[in-house]
Amino acid sequence: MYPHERSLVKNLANEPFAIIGVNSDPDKDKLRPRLAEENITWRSFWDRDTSGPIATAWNVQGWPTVYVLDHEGKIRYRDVQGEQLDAAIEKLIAEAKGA
Amino acid sequence: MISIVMGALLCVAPEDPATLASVDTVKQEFEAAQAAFFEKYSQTPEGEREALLRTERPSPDDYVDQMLDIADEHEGEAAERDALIWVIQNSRSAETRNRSINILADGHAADAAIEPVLYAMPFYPDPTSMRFIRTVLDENSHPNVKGIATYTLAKMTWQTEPDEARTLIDRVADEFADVDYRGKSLGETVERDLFEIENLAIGKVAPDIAGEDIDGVEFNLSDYRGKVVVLDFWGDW
Repeated sequence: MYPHERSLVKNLANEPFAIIGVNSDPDKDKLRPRLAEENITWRSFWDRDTSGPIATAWNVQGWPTVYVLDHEGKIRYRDVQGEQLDAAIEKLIAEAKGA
Repeated sequence: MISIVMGALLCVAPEDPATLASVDTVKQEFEAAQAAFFEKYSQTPEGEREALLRTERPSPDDYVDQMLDIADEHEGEAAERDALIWVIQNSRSAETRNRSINILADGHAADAAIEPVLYAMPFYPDPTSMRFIRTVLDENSHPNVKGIATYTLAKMTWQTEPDEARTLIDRVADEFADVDYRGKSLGETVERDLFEIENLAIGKVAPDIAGEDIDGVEFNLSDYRGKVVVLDFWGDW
């Protein structure tokens, strides 16, 4: 997932696009060096662990779980990956720019 | 799935010690074979591990026939029930599994100990599973089993029979809210499911998230309104 996310962040830097994580690693001190190592530059909510308040509210039962939201904040896709994720993002960016 | 199976293995009711020992013996043989394999696997160089997995990994199917023999010998008894439960949880053959589910439905639907089988049913959403759950609902009077069966049927009919599923969910909330379901109560479980259905479906505006980033800086999901957002629940594991 990281390489795909890195390339999205890089290729879409000038587009109305963001990756927002909800991270469930219990130990922030172990996580920080991993962010540097993997060049994870996108922002994450830190949710304490897999039973954190955000994952609980969103009824997340498996990781990763991915939602794609449009520029109006509407949920448009869930658990898409690879080329399907790319196509979904491309479509929604076109909608955002046409709006 | 592994943890479900492990949990199920631990809750055999000791009603019939002489015959249960033989169900337990077969289980122990399989577990010992697995343990021995993983020991060997861990000492095998990485390049050779895939071949080892293909050729030497113990298959539960090698133990299914023994379990079915035990079931045959003990028709209507606890040993039959426990042997069939193991087969349903472990067999890779849909035919064998379905035959075992049908015997369990016909002979043991009222038994409290069939609860672990209910957890496996959503993985096999076919008419055999549906018949099993409906038979359990008709015949079983244990609140835990009835509650979990009602919830399982609701999940399995949500796409095909949404009106029936909704009625079942309401019944779970009214009658079985206190029943334990995978470490939570069924009441909390259905509340979360309903929130997901009502607020997290495709086309709904995402509920806002307010929280802190890894450096402790507060922000909101709605700060990113105007942008396409990939919201990724992740962990570095």
